[in-house]
Amino acid sequence: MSAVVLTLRDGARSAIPIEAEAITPDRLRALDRAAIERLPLQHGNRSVALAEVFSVAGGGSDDLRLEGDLSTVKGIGAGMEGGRVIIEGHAGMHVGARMRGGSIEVRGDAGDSAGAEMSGGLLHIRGNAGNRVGSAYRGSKFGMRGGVILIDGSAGHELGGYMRRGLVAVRGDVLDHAGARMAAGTLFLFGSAGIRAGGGMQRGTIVCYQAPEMLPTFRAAGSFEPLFVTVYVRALVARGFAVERFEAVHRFARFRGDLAELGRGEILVAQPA
Amino acid sequence: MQIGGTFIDDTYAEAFTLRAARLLITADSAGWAETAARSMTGFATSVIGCGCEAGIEGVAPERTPDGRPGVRVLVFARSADDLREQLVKRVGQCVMTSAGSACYDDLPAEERVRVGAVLRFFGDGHQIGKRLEAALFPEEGARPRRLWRIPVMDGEFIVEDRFGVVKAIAGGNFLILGASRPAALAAAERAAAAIRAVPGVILPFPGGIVRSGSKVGSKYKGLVASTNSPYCPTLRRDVQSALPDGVESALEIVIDGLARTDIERAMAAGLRAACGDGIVRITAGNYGGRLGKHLFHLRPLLGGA
Repeated sequence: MSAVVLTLRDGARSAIPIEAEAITPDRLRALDRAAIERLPLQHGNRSVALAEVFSVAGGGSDDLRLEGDLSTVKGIGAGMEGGRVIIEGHAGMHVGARMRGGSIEVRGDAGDSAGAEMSGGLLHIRGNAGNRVGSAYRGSKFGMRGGVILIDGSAGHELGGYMRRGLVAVRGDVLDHAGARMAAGTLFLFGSAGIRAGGGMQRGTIVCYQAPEMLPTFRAAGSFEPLFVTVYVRALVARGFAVERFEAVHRFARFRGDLAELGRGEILVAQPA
Repeated sequence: MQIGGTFIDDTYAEAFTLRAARLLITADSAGWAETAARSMTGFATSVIGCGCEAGIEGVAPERTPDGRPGVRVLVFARSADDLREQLVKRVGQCVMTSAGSACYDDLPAEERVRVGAVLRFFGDGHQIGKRLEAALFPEEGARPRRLWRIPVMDGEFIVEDRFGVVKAIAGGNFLILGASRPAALAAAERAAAAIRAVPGVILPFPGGIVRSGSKVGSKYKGLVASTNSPYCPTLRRDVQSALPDGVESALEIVIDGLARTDIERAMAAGLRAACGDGIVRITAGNYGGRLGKHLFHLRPLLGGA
């Protein structure tokens, strides 16, 4: 069994996205190279064989490597339950959406809705991520329900929107509405946060290492040394997420909210030593 | 077989199966971690009278979950249910109450008992659960861990939801027969010190030494254990004594361990350390197969036949 390597063919990249939900380790594990080449992908309004888009090497493995600029390839690893995916470049929208297990590493940037509604596994984006990472799709009650999303770069709007469980950590900056309407779960924002972080949140924790503009429906609730934050940061470092310098930050101001909703969420803001 | 002038009896120690949990207690300083650990392992010398046997295994590894100094504690009880009951009481009364403490599971196991899951109700509705997702841990097959944040007067008490339980062995032992009481005590202290350096074991008795060893049964109905009369020097003329001439004092070392190999290592280290001047003989608590199924022959542990 050798790792499956899919390389985007020259000229296969187009402005019309390729829907690649078929590309998951669970599915490819049982297939030899010929069967993988026959897998159907949706390209615009027509179905194409995978071999038209990717050259294929290896087979019969749940270790999957994709090469090329895949920023218009959507849904890589969506719904996967196990195995490992490494994307050597950018990934399109919905990478790892609804994934339940296994790991995806994007060594470039990821498009919108990365890890949307995921419930398990690890999605590590080495570059920047788009909007609605770990969020709910429109009309869904909950966003992310478990698992871990790590973003080395920055992220867009509505990070962790409607989140129910799980952890999202972003080393760079995030745009507006992080943790909007989150029901539970944990966000670690090591960079800056845009406006209205935590708007409508019921429960859950947003840990900010730069003070965000606080909504008026959050109330200051003193400051303390939340030991669990250190536990998380040390676990992140052990997982290879480079936030070592934050291990020394122990004191946080606590804000409870959103009082326009249940009000049992918290935003913790790092305090100078 | 003789080591350093001490005769090693050709006999075995008899030990029995218990269930064990390993806790990692952290605090602001090593001193406070030890204070919490000592408090929770108090009155835990024997399952017969205390409900569990517990002790400090040693200082925690450098990298504790929260980066603070820590102490490892082992707790042994007859069943997983007994262990759960003891852990809830002892963590609740002795660790949660200790300033700045936190308490983590330190024994990955299939079987787990609810501890923080019960203690969380002390939070009176203000407790918050935090789930450390399985994907945070690089180990294959890792499971999520849930921590409870229980509000207390100095901040938050962090306690793990469940603690792993494994089958373990209790009652590894040997008896040090000395020419005098000071000689026997000095030898027992040397043995206890040597055993404390072995991971995976505890010495549940005071100072790691037992002066009131017991035999199985009693002349009195309902007593499951009574004084080990063959080894009591004052009963030489009253019972069939096991003490050879020239022995004035006997002390016992009792060892509980997570695995057979841990106890073997500990017994070997302790036996070697105990031998020497003033120690006439070393023997073991051999109950003729009535106490437990785990037998530890002394001489093979020391490289003898």
